[in-house]
Amino acid sequence: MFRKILLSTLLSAVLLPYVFFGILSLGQKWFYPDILPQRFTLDNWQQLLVRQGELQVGLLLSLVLGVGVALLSTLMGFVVSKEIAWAKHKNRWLLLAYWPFVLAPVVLAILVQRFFLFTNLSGKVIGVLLGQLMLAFPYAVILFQSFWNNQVLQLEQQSLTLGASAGYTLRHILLPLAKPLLLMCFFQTFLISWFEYGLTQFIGLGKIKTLTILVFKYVNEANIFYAALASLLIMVPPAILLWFNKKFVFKGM
Amino acid sequence: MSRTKKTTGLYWRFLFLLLAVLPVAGGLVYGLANSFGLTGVLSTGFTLEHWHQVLSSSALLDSLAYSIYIALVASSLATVLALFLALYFKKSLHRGALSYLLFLPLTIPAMIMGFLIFELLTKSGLLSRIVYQAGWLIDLQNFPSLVHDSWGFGIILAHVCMEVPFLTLLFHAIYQEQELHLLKAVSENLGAEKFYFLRHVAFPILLKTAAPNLMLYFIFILGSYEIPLLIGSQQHQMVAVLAVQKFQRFNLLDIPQGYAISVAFTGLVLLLLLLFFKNVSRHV
Repeated sequence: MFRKILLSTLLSAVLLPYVFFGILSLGQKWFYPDILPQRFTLDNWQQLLVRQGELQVGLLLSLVLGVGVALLSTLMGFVVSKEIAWAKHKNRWLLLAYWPFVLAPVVLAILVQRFFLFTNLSGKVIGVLLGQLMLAFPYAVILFQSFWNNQVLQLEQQSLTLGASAGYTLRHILLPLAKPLLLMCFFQTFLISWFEYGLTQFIGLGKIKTLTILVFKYVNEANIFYAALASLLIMVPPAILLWFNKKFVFKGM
Repeated sequence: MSRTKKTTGLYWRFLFLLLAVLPVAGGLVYGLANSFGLTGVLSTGFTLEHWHQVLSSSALLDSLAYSIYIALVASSLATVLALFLALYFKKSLHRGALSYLLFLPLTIPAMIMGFLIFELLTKSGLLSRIVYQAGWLIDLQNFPSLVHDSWGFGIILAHVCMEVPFLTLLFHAIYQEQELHLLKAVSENLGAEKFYFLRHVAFPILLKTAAPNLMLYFIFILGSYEIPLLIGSQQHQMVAVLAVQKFQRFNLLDIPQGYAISVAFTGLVLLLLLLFFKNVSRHV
């Protein structure tokens, strides 16, 4: 009995944010002491369909940054991690890869903000993308270290010895072998960008309004209905992704 | 190795240094120089004034102590809860609804967790409304301050909510990987009681194996920004919030202090990691 009650409580707690934000995102006027909003409407959601609307732009910006950061860090991480895996002082290079994670993202943002101002990249999408890459790229390098083992190296060398070109070996040997890890890296680095707030706020100077920036803005404006909607837009896509393939996406996290 | 291949390798390493290492190292050097008055708009040459102000005002030490308190309490609570859940729901975590649903909270970033706790626990939040409707509350003002409070109850709860699912899944994975069920069977065969197995076998193995993750999570909470920004108290600030506040003031003289706080925090985290890994390698 105790076990059942505890399990139900746990499952309710896990689902609570989705249900609560779902109700709030459909609500208007939530006066104390009513438990539910006085009015339910689809008006808030319709904001997503408004052309150039703030939420629509925020969603698109988050998507563009997320896909851009994930694509670049996965590709560069794959190549650079090989260089590091076979480097003479592998551990020293790896230690450097862990370096950005020592700092809290917002402290990192404070420290690097000046350089982005100097290079005129502050307040621009490309600046925020580069800022987020500072976290996602070393993460990818660390993630791919497990891939470059002796077996993979031997397969690569065998292929080259048998006369295959480097391009052929990459396409037909290395990429198929690395496919699961490449996809996992893509999803995880996408999430780093998707959830990021500190670097985006400081390097973007508040002009690059991704979904996380919008949540904070709406909370500050006491617009809880829009904040709930923006929160759902952040939480639901990774949740769906996870539902379909939980082990694949979060393995190793 | 051909010359071209060697050159390409150098380019890739240069790219790594450029994107992942130089910004952080450069930022730290710039921050340090700024805190010593060597750079910045109002720089007048080397001075220890900014560091003196930061250390003598006790704001940094107070906020460091407060951050360590929050991180310690939240990490300890989350670890205890996660240990309990991982051991109590072994089967449900292996297969069943919980094995799927416990992954869901991992899709909630800090900003949203802060917002959720605020909407649930503030004086006019959902919990207060439920308590009022149940007739246990006469006046809204009588509802206890669970967010923006000096004890950091809201901040701790938000971090615990974020950390428990992750740690539960981690402990569960370690339990499976280390095949603790076999050790349990052996200890039972030898006459040990369930609690003896937990205390002398399961807890030490789970905690030791998860130690690096626990340490990293402790550091993550120590430097957390979004949650204390949304639901933290005005009297006590966590370090990241204090540092950012120095940068956002109109007084330009506060900026070197912001850099001093950021550099000091980084130094503390590095020291913690150094001590931790030195300790771990000694015991491996």
